[in-house]
Amino acid sequence: MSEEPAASRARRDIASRQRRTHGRLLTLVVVFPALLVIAGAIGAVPLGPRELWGLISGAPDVPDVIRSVFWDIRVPRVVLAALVGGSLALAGAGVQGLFRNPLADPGIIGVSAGAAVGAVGCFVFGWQGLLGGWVLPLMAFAGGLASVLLLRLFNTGFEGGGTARLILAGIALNAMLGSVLGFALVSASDNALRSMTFWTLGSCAGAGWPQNVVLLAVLVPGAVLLGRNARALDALQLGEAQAAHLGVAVHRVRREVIIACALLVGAATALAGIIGFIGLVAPHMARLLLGGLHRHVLGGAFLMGGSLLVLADLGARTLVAPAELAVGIITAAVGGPFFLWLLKRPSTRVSL
Amino acid sequence: MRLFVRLAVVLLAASSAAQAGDRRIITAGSAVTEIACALGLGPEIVAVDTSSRHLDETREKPDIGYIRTLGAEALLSQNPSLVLVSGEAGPPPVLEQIRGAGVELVVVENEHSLENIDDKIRAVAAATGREGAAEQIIARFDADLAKLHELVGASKTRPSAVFLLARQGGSVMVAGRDTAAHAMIEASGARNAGEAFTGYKPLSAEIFAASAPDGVIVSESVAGDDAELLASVPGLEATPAGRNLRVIRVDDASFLGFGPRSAATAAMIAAGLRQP
Repeated sequence: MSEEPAASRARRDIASRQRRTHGRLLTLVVVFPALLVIAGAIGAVPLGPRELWGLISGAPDVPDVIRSVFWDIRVPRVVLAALVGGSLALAGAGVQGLFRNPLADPGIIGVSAGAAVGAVGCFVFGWQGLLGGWVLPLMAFAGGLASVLLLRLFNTGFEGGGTARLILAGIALNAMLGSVLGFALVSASDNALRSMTFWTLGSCAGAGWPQNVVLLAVLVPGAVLLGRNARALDALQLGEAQAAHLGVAVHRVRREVIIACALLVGAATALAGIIGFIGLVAPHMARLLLGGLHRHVLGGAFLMGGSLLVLADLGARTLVAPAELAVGIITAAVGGPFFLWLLKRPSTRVSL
Repeated sequence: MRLFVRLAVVLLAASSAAQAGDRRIITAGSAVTEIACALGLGPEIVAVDTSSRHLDETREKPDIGYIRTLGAEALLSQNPSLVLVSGEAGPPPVLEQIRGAGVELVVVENEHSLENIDDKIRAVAAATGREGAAEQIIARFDADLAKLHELVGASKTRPSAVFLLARQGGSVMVAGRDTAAHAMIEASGARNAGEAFTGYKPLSAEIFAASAPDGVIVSESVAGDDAELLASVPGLEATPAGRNLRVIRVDDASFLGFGPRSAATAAMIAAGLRQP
């Protein structure tokens, strides 16, 4: 009769689950930079270990072209892929938490469609080469933010109705932007049409250090804004009324999360075009591995999304070299099987 | 003996370097590539874009992909010393990265006009130091152009023609204004029957029949003979082009690329449309 009391068993369970979560989070934290290093070592220009060491240690005998390929083209591109993937995944975790809907995609608040309208405007007017190529990201970012402002206008400041109303308003807004986009494409020249088609498949090929600095400048405030609402998002999972009873300022949380997601998706899309799948699936991967607490989900989603896009972009720049593949073609090909494997594993078979 | 081997290796290396020249050229854009090959630069070309692989000299070269979505590192992995691209090459940040790596990048403007192909030939020649060879090619092109002008000038009629891009379901993709095909149709002294709209548009059988083209231009890569084409394009049978079975097959690169062979192609179209 050495049956231990239920309470102590439960306490032990919780402690072991916590240990497991922390262990897995730690694994992600280690795997992410390791992936960055591996992706940095591989590219269309083959670099041996000695050359790589020479590049990192700043040895003077490395040819200038190689130095430029590594430091000005490959490394900023790997970093951009990581930041874009991380931003999209963070935004996905944010909207899924806010809407309590596992099928919510960051696109639901209309940012990607708005960015696409901005981008198509740029292509139709032939401005993509102006201002050193910065007109395109600026217009896409402006389009993304403008669409969220429109959503706010329609939905009387996000506060008026419940979450369901916000989702429906988002769907209507997406449809309207889609029709604007369709009209622009129908009247666009052949050149604009082709440029737009490739933009909607996503690419990190335009990466440089300035792009990374700009993205970080938007990513950091967006991530902080989401992070400080992590506990509120946990409470929201019980339902909006229940969260309000727990003292959560639901309207403020909703506003902040939407603004954060708009910033994250807007900036990522502006710099890399439309990249699907990651924003939808990376948060689920994080939840499956780490459980539902948002401080874990947000961090895990960032690392997961960043890793996924770094891997996908590695494929984009090497699989058909010396040509280039659109990264949007690969993200699902890389992430899909991994996601299915996660879903199948018994230890992660938790409710979504 | 050892010395001899070493000497042989050095000599071999030197001779192969001299053979290929020290220059490694990448070209993108079918017109630029055709001009470069016509200038005798074929052996120095190390890679080309997807639109440039129709020539014997370039068929086996590595493919750097679609001209609008080039990748900087992938392109530099071919170790080029000169990158010659047509105006539509991009994306712009990638071109900047190539320049930033210290590789010479020359952009040759690409307009939909037969009148500035001479300038393109001169630009490619100037970038590669082949000005002498350029004059011959320009002379040949100008002769083709003169023949075309003569043909069009002597003709009292202005037939209409349409370029069919692809058949899809119940409609056909037809070239409207602001396309290379439109410019070529006009250059051959014809009216584009699709001039009512811009870009490539799917036309219903009804509208296509109503545009009543006198001739139909298709890519020579389109399978099937004229009768099959007539049967598979809805509405074509009702047009003058269909009744007279006037189908002109063109080589994509010379019809859409505005390169050194384009004046001859335009003259071929002009003659084909005016056949009794």
